[in-house]
Amino acid sequence: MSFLISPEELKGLIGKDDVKLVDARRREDYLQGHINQAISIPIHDVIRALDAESLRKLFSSKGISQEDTVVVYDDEKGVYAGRVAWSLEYIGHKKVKLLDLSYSDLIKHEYYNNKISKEEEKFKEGKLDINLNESILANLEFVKGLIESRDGFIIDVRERLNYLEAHIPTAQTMPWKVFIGDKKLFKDADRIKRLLFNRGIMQDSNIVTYCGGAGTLSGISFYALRLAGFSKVRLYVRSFLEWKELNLPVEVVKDANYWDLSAY
Amino acid sequence: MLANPVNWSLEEEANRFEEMLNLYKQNKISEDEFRRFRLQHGTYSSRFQTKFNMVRVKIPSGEVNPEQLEKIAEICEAFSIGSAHVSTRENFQIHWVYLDDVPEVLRELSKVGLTTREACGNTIRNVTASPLAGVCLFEPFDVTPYAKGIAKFFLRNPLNQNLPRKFKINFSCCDKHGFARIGDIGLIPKLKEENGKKEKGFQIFFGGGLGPASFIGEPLEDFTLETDLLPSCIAIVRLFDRLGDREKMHRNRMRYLVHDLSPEKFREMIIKERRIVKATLPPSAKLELIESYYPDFKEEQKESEVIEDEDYQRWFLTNVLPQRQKGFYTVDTNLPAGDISAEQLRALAEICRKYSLERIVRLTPTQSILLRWIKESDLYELYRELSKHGLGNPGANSIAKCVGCSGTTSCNLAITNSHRLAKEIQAKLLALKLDLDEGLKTASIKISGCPNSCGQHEIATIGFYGGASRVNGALAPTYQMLLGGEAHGNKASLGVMLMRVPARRVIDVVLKVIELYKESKRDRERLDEWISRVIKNEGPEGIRNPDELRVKLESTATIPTIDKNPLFYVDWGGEEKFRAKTARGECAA
Ligand code: SF4
Repeated sequence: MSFLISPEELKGLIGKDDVKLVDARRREDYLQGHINQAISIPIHDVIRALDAESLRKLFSSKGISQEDTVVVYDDEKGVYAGRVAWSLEYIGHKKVKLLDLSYSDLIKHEYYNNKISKEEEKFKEGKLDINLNESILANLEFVKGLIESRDGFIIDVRERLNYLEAHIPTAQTMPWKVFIGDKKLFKDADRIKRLLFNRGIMQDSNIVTYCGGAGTLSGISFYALRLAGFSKVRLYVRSFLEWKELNLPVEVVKDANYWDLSAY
Repeated sequence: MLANPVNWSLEEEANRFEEMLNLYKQNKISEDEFRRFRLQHGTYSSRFQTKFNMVRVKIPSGEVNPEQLEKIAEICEAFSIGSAHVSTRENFQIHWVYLDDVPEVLRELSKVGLTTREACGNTIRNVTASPLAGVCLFEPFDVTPYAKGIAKFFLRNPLNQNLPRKFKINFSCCDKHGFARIGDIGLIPKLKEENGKKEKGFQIFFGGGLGPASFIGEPLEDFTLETDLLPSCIAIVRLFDRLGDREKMHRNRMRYLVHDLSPEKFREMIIKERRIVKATLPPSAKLELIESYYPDFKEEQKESEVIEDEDYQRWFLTNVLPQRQKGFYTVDTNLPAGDISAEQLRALAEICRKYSLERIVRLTPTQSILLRWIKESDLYELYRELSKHGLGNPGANSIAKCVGCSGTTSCNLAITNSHRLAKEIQAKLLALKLDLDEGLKTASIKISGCPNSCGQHEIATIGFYGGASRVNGALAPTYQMLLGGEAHGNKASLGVMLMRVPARRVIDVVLKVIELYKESKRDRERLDEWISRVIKNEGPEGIRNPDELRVKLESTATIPTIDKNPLFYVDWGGEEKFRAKTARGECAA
């Protein structure tokens, strides 16, 4: 099974004991209405959990266990869900899935529109171990190493204007929206593949994605690349925020002129 | 039923672009060969950048549907800087596209029928039409089907793949509007009574164009039957192709050829060539008239209610024009210097679907976008919707609609930031509510960032083009100021040079001119009339002619030395000291 779950597939999963549906939206939104049986794990709680142990605690306290199949959704084109899913995978969970569309699109299906609840779901504390999956994380050392060795590609998924102003040395610019589909979460895998091929990036290249700070935009980009068959992708989860805080050298695009929409 | 939009695109072209790009990267084709190919497919390199490009999307007669607007929005966010630019020749320009991504951008564009083919390079560029075509009060008939037909005929046509230089065709909607006289070919629709029958046709102009040396187009003959439209255009293109100068880049637009030979001589040659074209043209080479969707409407005759909203009234007075279809209106979104964000593009698409009966928008040569076929009863609601998205700025049909080419924000040849200056002037004039001044409604301000005239400064009531001046060794951004230009349908004249003005003083000088005009105008004289009087040496006491006017403006236009006021040595929108740096031009944008 792919890591993407279609609305059709979800029908068969909801209600099973070993399937956990995770709503990554803000708590207020969850309480306004969510899919029956979805547990609320807001993105912000995940971002605040800075190490593996805090993540383990957070997820198990929300009822997630090692053997569960976890399906995450949001209403932000995967920007929240991707980061939550990645965090689970990082601590060693093996059955993490993303819902292949956003909540607003899901409830356009009549089937799901009848399955909206406003009640906080009940769940039992789960059981989770830590089994770190280091191969999907890029920490500072890894990023620095890649810049040094040039054995791979760093992809800046922030908006292009941010990139022009400053970025991690050697990074390429690919705003995250380049991966995002219209009705589905992602564009066709072939198109994503072609886009990277044209940039000289191969499916077995080392790739790091980063964004402005929370690893969210780069989190969903991480999954887009996985979908397209790129096998060595890592998320620089601390992203440009850490880089700037440490005052590390940045590259700017020289003589980058453009109009300023904020001017008038 | 809405008409199917024309599919201008050819999906294979994206693949071809990809192949050529790869060959180029593998050094299998030369830089020059790739550049030619790239330009043929609407892709310019960005100012001082080799990896980034501007992709120019051709919009024949400026017609864009909501799906296309949404696609442009999507491309802006995924491949560009989140906003697009409307150019004076009715193109959409998408800047800062990574060269390697261009094939994907072309694929996306082709999904909605848009092309970049022949948007740059030595080709027939976008065929423009007056954005009022179809709704204009004065037009004899709608030129849009002809404009799209001509565009379709020449697009990818072998005739047009390697001209000596670029070639521009402009359709006016009537004698009073549009840029017929500043194109290589310009066309104004005409009706002629013949044996009690009305025949459709055109007045054709040739050899016009703006640039470092500009010319107003010459009339070919009084009336050209519509059946002769295509043969006449082919004849002119063929003559240029055959006789044009392929050596001297800076003097090879057709207007130079026309004037080297003399317009009379060239006119004869066209007539002769047209005979040959007509005798030899295969019957398949026909002009296909591509009809636009024409709403099925009932005239609205409602008593309009008075709406007590001052901002709305101002907008109504300066942005809304009545159509020849009673009860319907055309509305200008007044984009500042042509910039529009992805969010605004999406909003505009929705608004267009909801309010425009024809369900398309039109790009304008004043870098704006029109919504047409709006019911009178919808105007207020429409205004509120537009305003929510920053698309309801007043002043569109007034002196406050300043045009500014892209200038140093992206053009390789630019010396100054004409783009930002246009926005600054607009903001100032709007703040002073000068858009409401009756005497200023027909005047225009247009700015180019260098002498190349993409900002069309020569046909402005007050025009400026960018340059640099040295004062005690320090370089300051300056503008050459011109006065009295215009291009309205069959009437056109080029502005005359007045004086150099520091970039930081342009706004003051404009305001000073307005002040002098107000002090000395005749009764209901408009600014453009007052200025043409000055140019003709018939100006008021003390401002009889341009020389006297210059004297009056001199104190406003002086440049202090750098230690007195360093700001004069920093261009608008910049923070660093001004440098007049340019790179190799691939065109004028
Ligand atoms: S070449 Fe054209 S776009 Fe560029 S600065 Fe000059 S006038 Fe403006």
